[in-house]
Amino acid sequence: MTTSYATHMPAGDAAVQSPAERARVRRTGLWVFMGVVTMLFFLFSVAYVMRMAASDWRVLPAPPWQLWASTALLAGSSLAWASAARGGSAGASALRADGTISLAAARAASRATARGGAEVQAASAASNQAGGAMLAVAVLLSLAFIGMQLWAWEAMRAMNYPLAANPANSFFYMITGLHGLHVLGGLVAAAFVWRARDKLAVSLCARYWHFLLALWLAMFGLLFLMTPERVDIICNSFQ
Amino acid sequence: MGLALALVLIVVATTAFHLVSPWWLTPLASNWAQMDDALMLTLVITGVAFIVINLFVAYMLVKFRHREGVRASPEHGSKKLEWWLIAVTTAGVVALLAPGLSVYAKLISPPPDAMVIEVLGQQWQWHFRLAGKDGKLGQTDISHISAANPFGLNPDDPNGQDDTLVAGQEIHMPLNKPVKVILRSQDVLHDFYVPEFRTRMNMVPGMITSFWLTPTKAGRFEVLCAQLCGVGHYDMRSAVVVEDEESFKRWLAAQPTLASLSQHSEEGAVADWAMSDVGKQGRLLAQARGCTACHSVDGSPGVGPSWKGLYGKMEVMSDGSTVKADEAYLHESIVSPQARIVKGFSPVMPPQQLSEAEVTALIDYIKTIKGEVH
Amino acid sequence: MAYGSGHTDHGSEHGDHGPQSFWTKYVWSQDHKVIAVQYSVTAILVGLVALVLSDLMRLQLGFPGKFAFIDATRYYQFMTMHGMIMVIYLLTALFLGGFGNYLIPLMLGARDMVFPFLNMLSYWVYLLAVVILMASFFVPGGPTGAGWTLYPPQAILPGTPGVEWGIVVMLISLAVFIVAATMGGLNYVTTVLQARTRGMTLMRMPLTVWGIFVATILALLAFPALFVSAVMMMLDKLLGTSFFMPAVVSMGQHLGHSGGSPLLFQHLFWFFGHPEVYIVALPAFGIISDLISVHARKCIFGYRMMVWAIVIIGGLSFVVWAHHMYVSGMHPYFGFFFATTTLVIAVPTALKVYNWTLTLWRGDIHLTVPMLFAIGFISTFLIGGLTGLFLGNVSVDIPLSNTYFVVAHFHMVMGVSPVLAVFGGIYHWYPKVTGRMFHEGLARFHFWGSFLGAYLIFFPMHYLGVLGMPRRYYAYENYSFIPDSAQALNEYISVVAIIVGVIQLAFVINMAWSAFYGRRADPNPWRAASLEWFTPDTPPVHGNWGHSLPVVYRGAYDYGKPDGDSDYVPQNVGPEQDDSAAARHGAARPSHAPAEEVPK
Repeated sequence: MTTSYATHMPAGDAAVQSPAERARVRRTGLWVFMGVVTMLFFLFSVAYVMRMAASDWRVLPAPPWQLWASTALLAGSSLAWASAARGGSAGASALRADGTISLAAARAASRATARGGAEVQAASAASNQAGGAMLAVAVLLSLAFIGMQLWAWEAMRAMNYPLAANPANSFFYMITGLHGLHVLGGLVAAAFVWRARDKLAVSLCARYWHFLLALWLAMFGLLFLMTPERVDIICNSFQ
Repeated sequence: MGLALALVLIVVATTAFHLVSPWWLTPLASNWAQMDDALMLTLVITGVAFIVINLFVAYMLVKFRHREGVRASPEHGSKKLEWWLIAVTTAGVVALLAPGLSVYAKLISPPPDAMVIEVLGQQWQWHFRLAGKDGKLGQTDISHISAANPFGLNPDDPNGQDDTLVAGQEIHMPLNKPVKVILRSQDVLHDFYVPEFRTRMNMVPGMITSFWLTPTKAGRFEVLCAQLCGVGHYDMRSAVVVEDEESFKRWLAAQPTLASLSQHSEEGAVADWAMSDVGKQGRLLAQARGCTACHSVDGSPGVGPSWKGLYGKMEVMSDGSTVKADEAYLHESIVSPQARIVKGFSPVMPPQQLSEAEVTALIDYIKTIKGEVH
Repeated sequence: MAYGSGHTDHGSEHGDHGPQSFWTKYVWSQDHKVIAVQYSVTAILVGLVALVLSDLMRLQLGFPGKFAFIDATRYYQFMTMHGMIMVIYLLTALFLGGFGNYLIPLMLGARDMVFPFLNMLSYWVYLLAVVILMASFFVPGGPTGAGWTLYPPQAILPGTPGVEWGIVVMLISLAVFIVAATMGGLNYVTTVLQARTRGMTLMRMPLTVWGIFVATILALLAFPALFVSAVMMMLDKLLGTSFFMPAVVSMGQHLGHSGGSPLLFQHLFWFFGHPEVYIVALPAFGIISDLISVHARKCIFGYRMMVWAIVIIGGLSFVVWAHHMYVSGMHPYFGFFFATTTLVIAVPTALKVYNWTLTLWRGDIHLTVPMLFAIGFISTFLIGGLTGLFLGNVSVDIPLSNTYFVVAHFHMVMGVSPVLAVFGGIYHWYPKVTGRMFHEGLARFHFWGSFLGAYLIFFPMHYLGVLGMPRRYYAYENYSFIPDSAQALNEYISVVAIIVGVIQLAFVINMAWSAFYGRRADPNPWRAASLEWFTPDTPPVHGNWGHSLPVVYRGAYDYGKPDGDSDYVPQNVGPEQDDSAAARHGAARPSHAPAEEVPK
């Protein structure tokens, strides 16, 4: 005789996860991924600092202006993503619990207020459009960032700091290159977001871009501010 | 049941194996008996654990095998027992670590009066250097390494002029005197390993590493490279001869110094050797300079073509052409090995720093290694 | 009443659209179970390649010079590929991608992994990594012969086989594998954190899940170190940078590198490499805990401590790496630190061995095929772990480093015991995955051959290491300190190794044949309590659980019930339905006293 105990329990037995659960899952996934990327760049940094101890270390020159420009571009992109994530606030009634926007509900809501709320309708449509526009701005600024980084590479080469000449150079190209690859990867994900118009995805992208900015600032600082003397000071302060 | 029996058998067989095994530590030839003691202590502690746990499992497999109507105990565990076991294990770990670390502390502290010997590793041979009468080794740098200067000695450093640059692949050490072996490499990682000495260390290009010991037994001990260094790794041989002070001094005096080598750079070291049998000095040279690491004399395959029956043979080169291995060909192969590569072999032979007389000696030797008569 | 897996409620009602065509069901599948099988089959196939390579190595070692095609170049290539395939492409992929993918959702009561598309991608990227690696056999110069540890400078200098193409292909393959592992790892970690069914707290998860979960965290944090090393080595090789390359004179040529540090590579590599061995070992630990528990009908001894041990071992695994570098020439003071941490990590590991053993105490031991392998694991892991104490203690390690003692140690502790855990796990879950039983006789033959064979091969090998025979030697001719008997021993080891290699065919044949012709299995033939045995269908279908997800009321180890019809209570059985609980509140009978009637 077989009795099933488990399969007829009520409540909590939805076939698919609820949208709120799904949102939590996606957020967790992104945090884990950002943790992995952090580890990667942490290890590069460790290698960089260890390598600095060698006698043939030659400090990098002052950063070429392109790197300041690219920092601004990435910061701008981060702001644009944040704005895109916030976009559509006037359509709050159309916001589902999972963060997706129901256009049908938005239209229905705005029709209901049409009699006295033409401005509301216009405002909500405008803010939806604004969100979409911000997304495009963010992507464009990121692409510009990549372009500016490549220009910076060219500038370094022109200043006679090519890849293999000394270890500091090598680290510069390698670390900025890998950071750029992670930005490109983010752009690929952003392409999917564009198609899906998924509000949670937009806010996850924004989070990832803030992470990329923080990572870039950390690497920028490491490459151009960290010298063997400063490493010594830090290490000695532990003794 | 069978499994329990198997476990008991394993315990019995492994213990018996240990007791009768002819393969155990080589006889100690250095002062590091404490390392052997640490090994034995570890063996005893781990051996007891191995035997006890295996037998315990075997016992339980029998005692608690499934029987009709009997169920397992519902217990979930015992925190008390677990903590007790942790305590015992920790005690065991401390018992192992304490002697191990105290020996290690001695291992990394060479006595200040230890005699210094330098070993330079190269794919796939060894070079040895000792300080001369001034007691100071000359400065070296990789940029100075060349065919004429295999040690990379700085020609402007006066300390290096009287350095003994050992000829051949054999280094001598005086008995019962502490020796600090400093290690360099010019290309890849190597490791100067003499099993009888117990202690050893990797040789790292770009770094100087070291270890120290006091040889306590006279004899000739083989040196093995113990860090993978390419296809010749298994045949990178040399030897350490430990002898009394007098014999060591005699040997040392017979070794060339940098100063003496620059005077005799034309004849090289061959002039000092007796020219007796045809091919003998070539054979000695081939062994001394590591040629036999890659070129066999019995026809067995190696990194490089075998010398058996080589002279006069028609060799196929990598570009498909056929060449007769005459004296001119052999000369070119030794002096400019990259010029032509035999088909099926990699272009890895380093150019050799040999005098003309030495090259001739080698060719004479190769001529004596006949192949099969067809 | 007996517990069953429920009526066959077909999962198609649950509103999820399952895959329809052959291609979406079995090839481009996003179903974790299909992906798991894909991973497992690929890993085992590539593992068989590596097994053949090891037999070729043994042919040379046992019968030196007799097989002309195994020259030094090929020997080192076989050796490198054998090691890399076994550690990364077989063991890591099989434990995480195979066992992890299949078991995690089922053991947690989830319908699938949380990112099914990413999961599917991770398999295809893994397959790409395997293809790239196999391609190295066909590039000019052949695969790299630098040893699986790929130490510079020799890995990228002439004198080592594969220096033109092989090393580059290897590094690319590793980078691709790491991408796949990250995609998979994201899934396993997030699923464990977010997709457990109602009532499944972390401390109710089976130890198999704990082992794979912590191993995955290790993988996510450790593989970046390998990635960093691979990128830097590739730059050194292809673009002439000097991350790892000091100034060298190679084959008479002064090369353009300068200032790099070979030791930097070793630190980075082993920062990955040591956690890697726990990535392999921790899932094995978890699986063994479950096998012993189920087949001895007894709760795992000290579940909480077992969980803590897994977590602590995982954490400590990041601070022991330089015990692989005692003779590397690193600063001597590091030796003190790493010897201490290494011997400290022995303590939680030993605790796990004690707890497995104590689980057997007063158990009700059924010597089923999975149990045979579990016991075999205890014995072989014991010796493997104990020899680790020799190598972890810095001064004892120094004469043994790079000798056959190390080879014997890591084969026992990585190659034998986790593989026995793999076999045990596959036999254990086989009826769940296929719905059929494997052939019992063939499986027992496979066990005995592998278990005894492993001892016969690797136990004597330790002694060759103590003697001082270095590893990674193509031949040992004319070394006077090596007696002729050692060569005889090598010959004997080679013969046994080849026999054991052939015996593995019994496993492959059994798996393939039984999948089609094996006796149809009961949905829960081992009467196990964990959730995966209670799917409505066996094998489980898409969506796993039918209309409703299971609810969990207890841990996964409620065995040894003294009263009631059954000696265990499944995880998804509530207190009201648990008749043994009712009896327990009355006059409880002591265990090991005969019950009136105890159905199987």
